[in-house]
Order: sequence, then structure tokens, then C-alpha cells
Amino acid sequence: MGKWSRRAFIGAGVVAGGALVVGIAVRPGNPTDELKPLLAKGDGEELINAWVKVDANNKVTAIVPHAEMGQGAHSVLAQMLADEMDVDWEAVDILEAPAIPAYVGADLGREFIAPTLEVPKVLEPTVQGAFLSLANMMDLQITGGSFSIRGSGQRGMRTAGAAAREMLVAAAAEKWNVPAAEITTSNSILTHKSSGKSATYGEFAAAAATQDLPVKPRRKKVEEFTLMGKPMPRKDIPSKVNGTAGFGIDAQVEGMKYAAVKAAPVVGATVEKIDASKAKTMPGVLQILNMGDFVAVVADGYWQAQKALGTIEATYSEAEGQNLDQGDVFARYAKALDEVGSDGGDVETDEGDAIGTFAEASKKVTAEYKVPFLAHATMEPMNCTASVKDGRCDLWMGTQSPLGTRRDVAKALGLDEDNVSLQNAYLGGGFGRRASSDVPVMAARIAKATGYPVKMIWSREEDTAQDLYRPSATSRFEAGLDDKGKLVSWNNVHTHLFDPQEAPQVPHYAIANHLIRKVDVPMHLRFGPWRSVDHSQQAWFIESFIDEIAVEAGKDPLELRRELLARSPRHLAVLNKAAEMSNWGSAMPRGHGRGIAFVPSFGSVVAQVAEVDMTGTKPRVTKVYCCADVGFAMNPDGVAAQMESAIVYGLTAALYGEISIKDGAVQQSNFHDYEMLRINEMPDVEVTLINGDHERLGGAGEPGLPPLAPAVTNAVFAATGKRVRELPLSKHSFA
Amino acid sequence: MRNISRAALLVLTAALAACGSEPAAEPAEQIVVREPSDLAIPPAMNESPTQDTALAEAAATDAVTGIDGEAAFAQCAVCHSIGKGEPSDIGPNLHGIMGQKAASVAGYSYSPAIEAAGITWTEAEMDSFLADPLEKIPGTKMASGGVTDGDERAAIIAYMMDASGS
Repeated sequence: MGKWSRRAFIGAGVVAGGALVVGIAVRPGNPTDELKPLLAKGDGEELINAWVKVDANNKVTAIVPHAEMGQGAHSVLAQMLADEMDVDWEAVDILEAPAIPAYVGADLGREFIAPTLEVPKVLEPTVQGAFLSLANMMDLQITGGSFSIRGSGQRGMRTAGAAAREMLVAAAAEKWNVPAAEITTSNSILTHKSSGKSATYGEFAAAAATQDLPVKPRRKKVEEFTLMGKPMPRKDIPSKVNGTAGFGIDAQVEGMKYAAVKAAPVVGATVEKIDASKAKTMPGVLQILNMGDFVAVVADGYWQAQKALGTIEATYSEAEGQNLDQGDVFARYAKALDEVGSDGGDVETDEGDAIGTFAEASKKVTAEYKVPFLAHATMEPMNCTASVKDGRCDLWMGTQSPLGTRRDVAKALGLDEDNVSLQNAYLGGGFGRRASSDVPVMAARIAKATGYPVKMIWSREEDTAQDLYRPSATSRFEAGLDDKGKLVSWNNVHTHLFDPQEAPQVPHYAIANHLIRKVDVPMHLRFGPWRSVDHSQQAWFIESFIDEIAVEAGKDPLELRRELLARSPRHLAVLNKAAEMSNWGSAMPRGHGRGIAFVPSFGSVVAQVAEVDMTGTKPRVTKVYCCADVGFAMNPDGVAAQMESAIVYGLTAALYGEISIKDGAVQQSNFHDYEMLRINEMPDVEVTLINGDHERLGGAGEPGLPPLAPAVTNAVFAATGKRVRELPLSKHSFA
Repeated sequence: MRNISRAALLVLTAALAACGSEPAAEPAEQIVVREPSDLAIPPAMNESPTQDTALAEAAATDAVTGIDGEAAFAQCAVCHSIGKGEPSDIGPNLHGIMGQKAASVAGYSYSPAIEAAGITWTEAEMDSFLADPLEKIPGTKMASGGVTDGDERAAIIAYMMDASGS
């Protein structure tokens, strides 16, 4: 990844203040004049449009508007651009777009996303919400929602690449005085066959920049793809292998000191008094700060700061949640759910007559499920380096939300947003944790107090105890089967709904009557998005309950799902493939079991079969078969890697993940009590991809996660006859 | 060293800023121990190795298995020191650990699980612990996936005894 120089960075602020035109490639008018001072450095380097740069040496730089957090988006976005532009893949460089609001705009988001939106009628209100959040992501340059490839890549990078190619062709046509249609492009070379003329892209870079942007550049048809759909090696891998990759925590700023922090253990409490008598005498200590909501020690080195921090005695104010224990949390949920009963609460979907058909049902199935709070546990500790002086704030970090961070830091410091700059680096894991700006706001406040640059690093203990958690939740179901054993009634009420709005919905299953409701139960902890967001809870609830219904109906869990998906061939193909991969129905040894789950999310469709060995003292997942249809896998290697990593992350949560509270404070502190999956516990994973619809791409980062937990607990049931209705599995004894 | 507390002034600013729901940007109390331009006291560094670590370095390769105990211990040394009198690190100092009761290194903050384990580090106990720490003592802070090879565990245990001079 290229790096923004400080000069270019300050330049960005200037540009952002001007009237920058952003609708590249879909609007007439060429924004290169405004962007040129920002992006072009040195003579002979010309900007073609906002997301691609070609220099005179024929070097093409893809400027990607998303963060790289291990998911591979940088490289695949560049791959999509390079294909449309017919450039030499080896000569493509990648630069992350600067964190300036003008870079992507609301209009761009809407124009790119809206035209081809096709959704089933039942989902329309939901998609309105989803559409807004997609546009919002482009506004804020957010990396999340499994959005980068299907959104910015499909609508942005491909269009930008096609436009750039057309502008280069137009410039050559003008110079050579030949029809543009007769010019061919390949490997960054323009050729006019009949006249024998040929030139590199670099030679026409300057002339291309003066061409009008095509209003609607022609994008390639799937059969014309040369790089898209191929497992091109990721460009970020070499630097990650040889250690030169720059993460947020690697930031080095002249005169920088280190800060360690500890917040009040109960969220909402403030630090009333600190006794820093020991800390003041410790080596390297520069400052001790009571910031109100947290204590900070600034020192020459991070370890010195952390050691001194550990000696500080603090007293805290009373806080609303201070008497709450984990049992009280679920009791609160139960009370709220009891109050709304079978038909109350906020109605999310009401189709047909779920209540009436349930009353008349021949067979009734009910169940209640609970999931705990979860932490993100990113491998790179949370950190931010900040410098605040002369009315400016400069930030260095890895974030999923650079513009949201700028906005929030500006607000906290009382600065104008233009006077906050942010240099984004690689993220050592995001999972949604780095979409929030609580950490940079803290760093900026410390740096403002000290007056010199400070790198703030959270300890693992702080990260575990002060995360923005995946919410815990309880969900209750009632289902009715008619006299033919057909599932006719689905009634669900759950606590909590954040995003995506469709997570508790089951439109893919043919169930005539459904009523889906929620109740909000306020909690003092802070919540944030966690890989796959609400699908992480809802998919486990839904797919566990479908399994229970199958058992009650005397049907094989795969057969029931097949019946319910009978009219959705694309869904059925994914389900059937996963079943076929696992040799579903074949005999298994005693104490072993096989479970299946099927979850469409983020525009993709994923089915997984898990195999468990329950003969030991704890569940051991031996194999996971995964079939995914993401529409079209732009980089199949990358999609498979995302499925695998979602399975690791999901299995960690299903087996061990649990944040619990006592007296309002989080009880877990580090990896000994918030365990990660170990390498010796990793199942074999087989992934098969189906390209079901190349026009409608789905995401890849998150959809592999939701089916994992229900596939595993359904397998546990198959092996033991014991139904797991509360996660994680480590709470249960199978001896 | 200067020691300036600007608490009174800053508390006032904080109170003024606290009208909104956002936390105040400014600290409620700021203790400036030293400016960065002032010289720090250099931390004690580059101590010469003790005789014990020298001994440990000289520990021979296990004659039976051919596994170099010191090399095998390298995975442990990420968190544990073993030289006599060396401070505990992420894990406790392991000098003389064999034969001792678990959770007996003074000044190290053990997990409740290991404190309650009530075991003595015989070779057999250590062997089963190293094989799968979390299985043997659930809740231990020792974040190791375990050493699956029995010969390697034996070499590590032999090295721990050698390095302790026993």
C-alpha cells in the first residue's frame, strides 16, 4: 500500500474546502483539476479520475476508498479496476483514498446503488433502510457491511476503470486521428492495428486527463473478464509476510510519547479521585491524567505508562448499571418478553395470521434461546496516535470509518472537521470494532492535554473489559404445523434489533403466516457492530428453531429446509451442494453428529454442514463443509479465505465466546478467560463457491459466519440428543 | 522533577463543558511529572547475565531423545524467565519451579484457577499440564495450546531442572 505524504495530506484539507466534483464516471464534467494537486506528485504524473492514477512510466495506481483489515478488499478492488481498464496487473499499485469527505458523496452512492436494485416486495421497507445504510457507508467511507466489493467495487471501481480506459482510447484516437472503436487495449497498451500505431497508457496519461469523463462507460460482460473471477495473488501479502506492512500501531511521529489508559470499570461511572503518589515516582512517567471517564498515564515508553497506570488507585462515581449481574440481564429480557406475550412488542413483519394458524395447528413447537455479549478481540490492540496543536488535530491509526472518526474527534475537541486529518493504515483485525471512534477520541483528548504527540495503546485487559460489545439477546418462538406436517405459522419475538433490519426475517422460507416482533431492553454497556452484526444472533435462533421443528415434524433437517426452499432455486442449489459435499445422511460413528444451517445475508447465500465428535469431554468440531453463493466471486481465493476466517471467528464464539457482567463490570480480562480457538481445535474446512448471479453481487466478509453456530449446535443435537438453547457451548456439560 | 497540579482550574473548565452529554475534552486533573524535554532517568539495562542463565545456556541436548531442551523451552521463554532472581514476566519466573507448589512464586499475580489447583509440580504433574494447560487447569492464564510431543515435554522439564541447578 502506498502512503500519503504529509504534504499531500495537508493538501487534502485544502482541496476538501473547495467545491470538488465527486460524481466521477457517472456525471459529465471532469474533476481532475481539483484533485490534481492532491494526488499527482511530480511532473509527468496525471490523474485520470478519482479512483485511478496513471503516471508517465505506465504505472497505474488504484485509489481504493476502503480500509484493508485482512479481508483483501484493497487488492480485489484494484483487480476489478485493472480488468475493466485492461492494465498490466503486475504494474498496478494500490493507494488508500484519503480521508476527505469530498472523495465520496451521497449523490455518488445513490446513483451507483439505486438503478439496479431488485428486491422482493416483502423486503422493500427493509431495503429502503439497507439502501440508506449503503449510501451512508459511501458517504463515510466505511469499511463494513460486507460492502466493499459488491458496492464500491462493482459500482465504483469497475466504472472508474472502464471510464479511464475510454478516456485513454479517446486521447489516442484524437492524436492518431483514427476512430476510437478501432483502438484495442491490453496490458496497459493502446493499439491501432491497421495503422500499426501503438503506445503505452503512460504516453497518453496527460492527454487522457483532458478528455471529458464518459457519462456511462461500458463495463465488461462476464465472458470478457480477464482478471475478475481469477484467484489473483493479493498485493498486500508480501509486506505482511516480510513484516514491512504498516499497521496503525506502527505509527511513528516525531516527539511522540506513549499513553496507557484505564476507564471506569462500570460504563457510565466517572473517575472521582485518583491516588497517583506511586505512579509519579516511576521511571519514564511524564503525565498522569484524570480524564473524567478514564485515567491516562503518559510516559516515554508504553510499558512504563502501563506499569505506572497499574499502581494508580481510583475511586469512581455511582453508575446506573453498577448493581447489574449477568443473571439480571437475562431476567430483564425475560420480563420484557413476558410483558409483550404472543402478539405485543414492535412488529417488524406481520404476514397472514400467525396467531390464528398457531391456535389451530395440529402440532405446536416452542423454544427460547439466549446468546451472550461478545467482544471483538482484534489481534492488533486498539490504538491511535494523535497530535493536537495550533488548532489542528492529526491522527494516525487503522480505522473502518475514517470520516466518522474525523467528525467525532472534531466534535470532541471543538475543532472544525477540516482541521482534523487522518492517516489510515492497515488494520490488524476490525470485525466492526474499528468502525467506532471512541478510541481516537480518547487519544485526541490526551494529546490535546499534553500538547505533544501521543500514541495511546489499550491493554488487552482494557480491550476485553471496555469493548463495544455484540449485544446479548433472548429470542422466543412459536411455530405451528398443520395436519399434513406443513409449517404454517411462525411467531418470533426477540430482544434487540440493530442492523441489518432483515436479520430476524425468514422470507426465503415458504411459511404462509409469520409475525416477527422485537422489544428493546436498555442496558448500560456500549454496543457496536460485530462481524455479521444481528445475523450473528438471529441466524442461530432461526436455524436452531428450524432444526427443532424438523425433529417435531419427524423430518430430516435437510429435508425440511428443502421443502421450505422449494421455490427458491438459487437458495436450494446452495443448500443441496453443502449437503452433497458432506455426504449428508451417511452413517457416522457413535457419538458423532452432523448438523446443517442455511443463512442468506449481506446479499449472499451460505449453507454449512458441521461434523462434531462428542466422545471426549468437550465438543470437538472435526469438519465444516461450506457452500457459498456470493453472486460472482471476483477473487475466488479471497472469498474462500473469508468463509474460512468467518468459520474460525464463528466457532470461537460458539464454543467459548462470553462476556458476562458482575456488579455492572465486565468479568473477563484477557485470553485466559475470553478464549480464542486454538490451532489444534481447528476443523478441516471445505469451501465450494457457486456463481449464482454475476449481476447481483453479495458480500463475503460476513455471510460465512451466521450459519456456523447453528450448524455446530444442530450437530451436537444429532450426536447427543441434547438441544443447546444457550451459547456458548462451554457453558454446557456433555460428560 | 516538577510536580504541578492544575486540578482546580481544570475542574472548572470541565464543569462548564459538562453541560452536554459528551464527555469533556479536558482532563479533570492533570499531573505533569516532567516535560518531554527534561532528561529521564535511564532505566537499568544491559545487566550481565547471571551465572544461572550461563548454566542454563550450557544445558546439554537430551541424551535420549536428541531434543534440545533449551531450544524447546524457547516457546516458554516468550513469557517466562528462568534465571535465578530474574523478575517474573507475563508468566512467573520458573527458577526452581520443579518440586514447588503451584502458585508459589512471590509477587506474581496468579489466576484464581491455578491458586486453587493445589498441586505440586512433580514431573508427572508438569508433564500433564504442559500437554494441555487449559484442559488440566481450566481458567489458567497460561495461553499455550500445549506441547503435544511427550519427548519434547520431557526435554523442557529436564531443561527447567538443569537451568535451576537441580
